[in-house]
Amino acid sequence: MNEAVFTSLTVSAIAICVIFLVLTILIYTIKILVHFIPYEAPPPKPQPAPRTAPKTAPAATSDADEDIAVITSVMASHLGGSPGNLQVVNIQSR
Amino acid sequence: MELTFSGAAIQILQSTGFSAIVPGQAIMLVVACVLLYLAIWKKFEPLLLLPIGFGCLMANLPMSMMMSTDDGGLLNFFYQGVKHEVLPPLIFLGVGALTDFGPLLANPTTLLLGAAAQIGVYTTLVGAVFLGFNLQEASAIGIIGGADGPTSIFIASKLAPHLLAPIAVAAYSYMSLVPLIQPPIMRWLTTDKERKIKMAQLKPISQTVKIIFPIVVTIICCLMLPGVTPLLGMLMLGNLFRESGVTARLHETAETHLINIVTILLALAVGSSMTAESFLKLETIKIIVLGLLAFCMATASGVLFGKLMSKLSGGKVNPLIGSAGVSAVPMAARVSQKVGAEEDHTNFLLMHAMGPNVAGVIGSAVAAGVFLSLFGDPTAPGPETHAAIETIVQSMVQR
Repeated sequence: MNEAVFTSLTVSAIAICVIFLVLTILIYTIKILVHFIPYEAPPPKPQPAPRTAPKTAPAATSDADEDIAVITSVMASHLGGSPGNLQVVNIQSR
Repeated sequence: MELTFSGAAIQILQSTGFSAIVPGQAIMLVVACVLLYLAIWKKFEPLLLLPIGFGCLMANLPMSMMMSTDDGGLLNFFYQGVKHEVLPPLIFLGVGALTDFGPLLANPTTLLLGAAAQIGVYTTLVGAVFLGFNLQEASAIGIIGGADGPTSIFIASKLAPHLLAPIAVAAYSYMSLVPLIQPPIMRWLTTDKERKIKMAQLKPISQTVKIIFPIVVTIICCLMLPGVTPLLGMLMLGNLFRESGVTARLHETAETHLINIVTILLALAVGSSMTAESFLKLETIKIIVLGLLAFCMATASGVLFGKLMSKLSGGKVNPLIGSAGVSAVPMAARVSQKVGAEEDHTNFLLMHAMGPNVAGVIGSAVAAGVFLSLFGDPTAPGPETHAAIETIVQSMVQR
């Protein structure tokens, strides 16, 4: 038994040395690789061109607000519903 | 053929498994149900313990021909994949495809933590020899400390096939218990101050380095330890699928469908080897105890080496990441993160712990290679041909 335990201790010592040796070689291999092939940030992607605004009349103007109010009330009375249930999202000028 | 009613009834009764079941099989059915319970309701590595448990269940049903030793039985065919060392390397292929070696490449000294955790393997080896196992058996038991199921199965099938079942069950059971086993050891071996150490952010790594790394590791490690080539070579091939960027389909298959299919085959094959004759022995209890010792020692040695690195680096390394040197990926790294966050919730150790975690995979494969170099006989003829294959070969020769 003692001899077997002694053998296992010897095996363990050798094996641990081999593992550390192999992994140390890998450490230095990685360091060499990283040294000679450094990280380079990828070139920035070209920004997409800003979209051109649609050729619509600005809805924020006071005239447009009046138009929206009129259209909404007429549509609501025509449909027999409440103006609150309708929303005009775009007015296109000719 | 004349058949009376009573005669037919007796014949049917005698053809059922109930008439043939022996106490050992009944006990193994209970063991199978315990494994299924742990997998389904306790969520202990369900992807593995569930098919292992069900394989064990089927193998212990009398007259079912589902034992790994039943020539011509279904699970005997699956078992050929273990016996001929086909399935564990295929699992490694999938693991490689899933693994990002980036954190390891960014901080390569963490490879030493993966090496340090293997000290648990060798402590257990000595313990196993002390308990009466021979060196081959002790090696197969010790590798449980590597927390790497496929490696454990690979080594057990090569060096101690008669102990495959208890070794596989112990390895996967303890892997699932990593979140319970590791934290008390980590807290016991470290101070509050050490657990609060914040590590510097990892540097990014060139994609070219990530591609070259698996090729270089295969060349270096497999030249030094040829026995490890099936495991390490497939691990690195899987990783090359991932990093090369030109094999998207192979990478996707390896990390999903292939690894899932192989897991089913491997786990069922291991389950089918869990027969009363192979499992209900005093050795099984010894292996379970030694497996726990292996995990504890691996965790402790990883943390202690982490403390050493912390001292040598002037407090730049948090020793908690040392426990991730056991290769249960990514569970061990998550445990490091969790224990670190308990002390300081702004401390994020996960990515730092992934370095030693994947180093543990390489470390346990290297440890397996050392065992094979010492105890495996590369000139030995392979396992005998399966009876069915032999029949096919003979019929082809006759033609």
